[in-house]
Amino acid sequence: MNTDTVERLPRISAMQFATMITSGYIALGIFYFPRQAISNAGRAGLWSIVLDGLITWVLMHLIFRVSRLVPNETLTSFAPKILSKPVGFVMAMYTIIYHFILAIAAVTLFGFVLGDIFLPLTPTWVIVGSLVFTAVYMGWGGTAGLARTLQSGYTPIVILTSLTGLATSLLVRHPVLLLPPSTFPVIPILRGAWQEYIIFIGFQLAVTLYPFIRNEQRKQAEKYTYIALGIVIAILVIEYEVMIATFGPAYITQLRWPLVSLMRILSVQGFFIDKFGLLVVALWTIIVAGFTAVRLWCLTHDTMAMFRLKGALAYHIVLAVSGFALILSSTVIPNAQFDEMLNERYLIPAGTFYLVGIPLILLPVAYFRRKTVKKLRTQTETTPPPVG
Amino acid sequence: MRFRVWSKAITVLLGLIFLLTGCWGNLPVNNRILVLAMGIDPAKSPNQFTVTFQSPTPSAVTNSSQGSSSGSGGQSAVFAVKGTGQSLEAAFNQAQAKVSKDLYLGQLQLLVISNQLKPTLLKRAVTSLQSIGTLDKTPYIVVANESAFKMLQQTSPQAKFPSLYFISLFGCMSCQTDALGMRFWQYLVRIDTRGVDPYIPVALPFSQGYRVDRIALYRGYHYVTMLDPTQTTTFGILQGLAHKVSLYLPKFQATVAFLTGPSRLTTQVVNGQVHATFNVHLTAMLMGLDSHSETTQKISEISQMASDTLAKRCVALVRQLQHQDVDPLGIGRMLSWQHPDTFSHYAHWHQEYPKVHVIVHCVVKITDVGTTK
Amino acid sequence: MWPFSRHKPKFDAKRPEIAQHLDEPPKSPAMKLMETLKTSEETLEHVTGVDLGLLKDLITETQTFSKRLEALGQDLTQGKSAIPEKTLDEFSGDVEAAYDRLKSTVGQSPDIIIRRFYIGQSQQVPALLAFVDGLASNEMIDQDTVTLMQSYKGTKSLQQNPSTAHQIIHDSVVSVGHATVETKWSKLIIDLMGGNTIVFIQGCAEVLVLDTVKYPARAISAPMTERAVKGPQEAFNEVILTQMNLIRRRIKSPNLHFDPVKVGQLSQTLVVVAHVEGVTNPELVMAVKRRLTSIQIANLEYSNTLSESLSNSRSLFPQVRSTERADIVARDLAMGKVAIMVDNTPYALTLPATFIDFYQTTDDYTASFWEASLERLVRLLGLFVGLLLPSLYIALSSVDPELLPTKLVITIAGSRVGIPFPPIFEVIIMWTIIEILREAAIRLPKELSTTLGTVGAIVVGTAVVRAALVSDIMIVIITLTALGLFTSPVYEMAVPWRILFWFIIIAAYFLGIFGIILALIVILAHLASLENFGVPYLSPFGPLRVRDLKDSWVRFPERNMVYRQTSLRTVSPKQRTRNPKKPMVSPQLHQTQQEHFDDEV
Repeated sequence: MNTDTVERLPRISAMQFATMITSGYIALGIFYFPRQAISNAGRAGLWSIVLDGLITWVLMHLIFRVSRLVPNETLTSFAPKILSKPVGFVMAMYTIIYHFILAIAAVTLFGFVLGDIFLPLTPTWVIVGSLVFTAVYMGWGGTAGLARTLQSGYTPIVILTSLTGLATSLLVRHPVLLLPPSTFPVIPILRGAWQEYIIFIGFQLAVTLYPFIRNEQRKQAEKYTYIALGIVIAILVIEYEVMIATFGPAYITQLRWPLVSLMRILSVQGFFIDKFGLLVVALWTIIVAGFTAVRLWCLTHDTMAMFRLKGALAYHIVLAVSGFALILSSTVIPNAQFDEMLNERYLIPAGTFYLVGIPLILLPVAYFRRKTVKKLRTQTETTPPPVG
Repeated sequence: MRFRVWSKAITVLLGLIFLLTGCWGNLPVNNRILVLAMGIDPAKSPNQFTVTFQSPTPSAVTNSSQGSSSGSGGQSAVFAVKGTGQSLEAAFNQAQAKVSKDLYLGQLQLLVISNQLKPTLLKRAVTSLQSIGTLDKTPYIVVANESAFKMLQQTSPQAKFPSLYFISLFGCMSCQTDALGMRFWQYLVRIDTRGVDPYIPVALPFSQGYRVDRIALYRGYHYVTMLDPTQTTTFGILQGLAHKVSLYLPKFQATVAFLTGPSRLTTQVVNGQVHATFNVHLTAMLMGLDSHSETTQKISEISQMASDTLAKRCVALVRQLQHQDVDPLGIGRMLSWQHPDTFSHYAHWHQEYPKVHVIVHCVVKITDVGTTK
Repeated sequence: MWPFSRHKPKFDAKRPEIAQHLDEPPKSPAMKLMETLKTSEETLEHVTGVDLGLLKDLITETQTFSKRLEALGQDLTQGKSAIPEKTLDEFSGDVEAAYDRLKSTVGQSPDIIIRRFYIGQSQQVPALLAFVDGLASNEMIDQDTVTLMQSYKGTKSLQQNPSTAHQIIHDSVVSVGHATVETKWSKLIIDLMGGNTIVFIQGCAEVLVLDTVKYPARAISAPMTERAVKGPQEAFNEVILTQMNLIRRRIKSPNLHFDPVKVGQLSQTLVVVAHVEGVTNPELVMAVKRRLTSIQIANLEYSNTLSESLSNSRSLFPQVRSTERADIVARDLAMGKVAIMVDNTPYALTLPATFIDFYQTTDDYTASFWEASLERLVRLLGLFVGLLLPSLYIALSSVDPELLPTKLVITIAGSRVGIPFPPIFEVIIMWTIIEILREAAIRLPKELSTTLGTVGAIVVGTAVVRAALVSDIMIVIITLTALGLFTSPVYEMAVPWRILFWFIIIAAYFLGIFGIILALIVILAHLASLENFGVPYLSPFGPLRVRDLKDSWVRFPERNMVYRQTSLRTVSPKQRTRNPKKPMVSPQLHQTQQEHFDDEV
């Protein structure tokens, strides 16, 4: 426990941090995975996935470095102090809007998936509405409550999904395709990696979440996040292999949501629920709800940091309002095709720009304004961790 | 404090509004017509098809819940609704107009297509079926000779509904000579992948039920031909699907039974010529020899002969397939995986396919000599 | 304003009668008022239609009040002469004044015995003792107090130093084991009411409080609500002392502390906060005590009244475990929790409680870890079955039938043919029947409730299906639900699920499987946000504590549970050593064994 901070934020453990960061990505891209990679690079799409993972690794490292500049404040609140107010303001606005659009894309996508499979007669806004309502409730209990919910709900579902994913390997038809691709068409791989990157977009919430880690667990939290990323990449690679060996590359490019299709053909004979894979897809609700909740949480905290709002009441109001806005804005997206276009044309470029841009701007500026940074660092904590 | 109470009340109200705006998808199963099987036939007027939606009758449903497994005394356990139209949706609408309950496709287990269906019609039907969200691609697909409707009308004493018959047949490996069951998604994979053509098992109705020992071959959506039972077992051996195939060798008066084993296809490109090699490794049980004539040498002779016979049959079948220019074995697909550059040079695989040099290595290993005497 | 006072002048003629009583010298205004009232009473006797009862009550009240005033006055004047800074609340040292005071306050009640007597035979020192008849042991008062005091020989010393008289009596006369000294009336009266005997000695400002408490109590019986197959069969009774004894017998360490707190202005109920020093987090003990002392209620009757003040939200879920088993309390104490016992309630509270605590029983620790793990998993399964089966039925039979195997769908559809209601109504009908049966069975006498059960079973089992109100599958489902929800070993835990059940049913009705999952997430989020005295309710799952998972849905062997629960933040985290030291082998025995082995070779 730490008492020497000026205003003590509610703290979370290292593992909770890693869970929250991990739940902040995957959810959106997992539905398209691995169509873009395969449609661009064919069987060599596997390298696109691995490349994406490596890039994320590097970017994550940079983002943590930025967060460590002033480890007790969120980016939105310390960026103006380093970069001057207008730039900081623009950066904060960008963060907020980006989180918001990402959340819209995720909830509507899931609304379409569920509407298509389970609830064909239910309007999408109802599915999205109840999903967002749940997400808001998840965030209602504050950072610790959200982190605990994710730990006790999200993690088991991810494990279950991975196990089911392994079970799908029984469906493998063409073991030949399990062999790693021998070709390296560079341009298609890069193009595939770019379009597939939606799966990793979203971990930038680290800049908001970082100050909430318990001081002594920061290093550990970073380590766990890297480990979680490693696990995610491993799962994705396995799933990629299973899928390509089941469907073959040509058919996957025809599927709107390949992983959902894979799950749907998985059935268990002699069980209560025949289509077990479909049940798992329904259980993904918690992955999407977690994604949305984490994003709403970020949105709320960034908004509060920007307008210098404090207290539980303000948190609840901003959270509820952003949830409501999310439901309203999600009605703008008419169909799944539009949602995909939104991802490809806007979210990937904007997200990558953010992930690369933040460290690129902040780290050099911080180097030149060492004194200010040092003052900020010691203001909130006597012995801040080293940046490097 | 007061605001908090209000905000909570408002959230609860909003939540309730979400919930109380209607009960969209809620319809109990007994208010739905569970379409268990669907048949697609060409209609009389060209460019149209007739779709048969078959579902259990209410009385059959009630009986089944009370556990009486026997058929309901002469009365048919299924009823069919027909609809005709230019698209599947139009046919569906027509059928829906004839019934009072919701025609529900989520439980579709069997898809029967007539071999008389024109390629354009078949393509239209398959595309429509693919985009139905509630229908996952797991129903089995079978071909009916001439009329799918007639095939669905046939009842079997073994199962109450045709769909249940095919579920238990295709769901069980050891219940079939060759594991011929083709799920809809497997069909779709073949349709959508270059270098491989779909095959579909044929269900022929007879007085006691159905006979499933042939396959229909398609070139894309074009119906090509139907393989006879012997050819079908050979095809099964080449695909590694054989389970209970047996071969009678008149020379030894013996039978090699339970031929089972994997088959591996490899492709090579030698001087621009495509070579396809099938390596078939079968295990079998020897039957019909009496104990004094059962010598090691004889067994190896039998095994040699069985291997030769089967290899010859396989080669003959592949030649025929090449001649008919239909590639259900997926030689082109394997080429595209193993030699993608070579394959991508061919604009049309079907022009190259007949020229492929095919080699079949077949080894029959007799692992079981029976327990007699 | 007294309404009859206006009529007073009319009855002037009767005044001489009052005058007869006026020979007493002190004429306090209260006396005057009372006499006036008495006169009015006599007059009013002849007037019909007036409720005399009211007036009589008033007279009695005034009488008591005047007496009390008088006694107080006397006490005060006496005291003032002796020690100037004495207040009204303190005993002055005058036995007569004390007698008056007692007589006028609690002495009105027939169960309070006040007795004047003399200490010693030769030189007699006046003394007074008071006790509550029935709460105090008569033998102890007779033999160990009064007899001894009356026959005391050294009264001279008493007379010489009256201020230390209580010390002499305490040291060398009374033979009651536990005796304390008190001077304040406010405390004395409460001690008296608790069954103690108080002894006043002339000239001594300190009053002896003799512990003669002995009142009828229920015997220690087997626990009724938390039965165990192999565990100890001792449940608390209503007497807090017995409760403390039962725990003390289990934890003999001097570190076990019982801190008393009085709660309730009227009831003055004794509440004991038990904790083990050196194990329990002192911050937790402080917080609990602070919370308890801040409770302002008139009457504390049940321990459950406290549990509401001890858990800080209006959650459905119990956050304080209430148990009647002494062994569970002792176990929790040893684990680093705080136990709260309330006099007159056989249920002690232990806190902070986490979710998993409500699924742990005595049997889990008396059986092998295999059995314990199996039972806990069965409880988890029971919870899932009870909570989800009907909602899954609704979701799968009306919203998402595509998930079911074809044969099952046909079976369900068949059983529902001819049923006029949608599945949700079936659930409502059946669950209502079950709840009514359950409620009725609890209230009825035992013999009748068996009959009710049979009737209920027949009604539910056959008639409802025959009448085609519900399908037969529904009967199976609801029976499993009713059983499943009660697999929780703690009754309180079944209640939230019985309520949340409806929440999930409604969600399933509208959104099918998706709705059920959303409802479960909401419940999970709620559980995760709960905290009791800083301990997360969902730990060890909520904040994942891998070490604590050893005693959650599965129980590891005792040997592996080296540490106490992390979430309790105990002072000493270790509760056992991993590898117990091997007992030193007796050299002789060792030799014999060695020879034995040699034999075999």
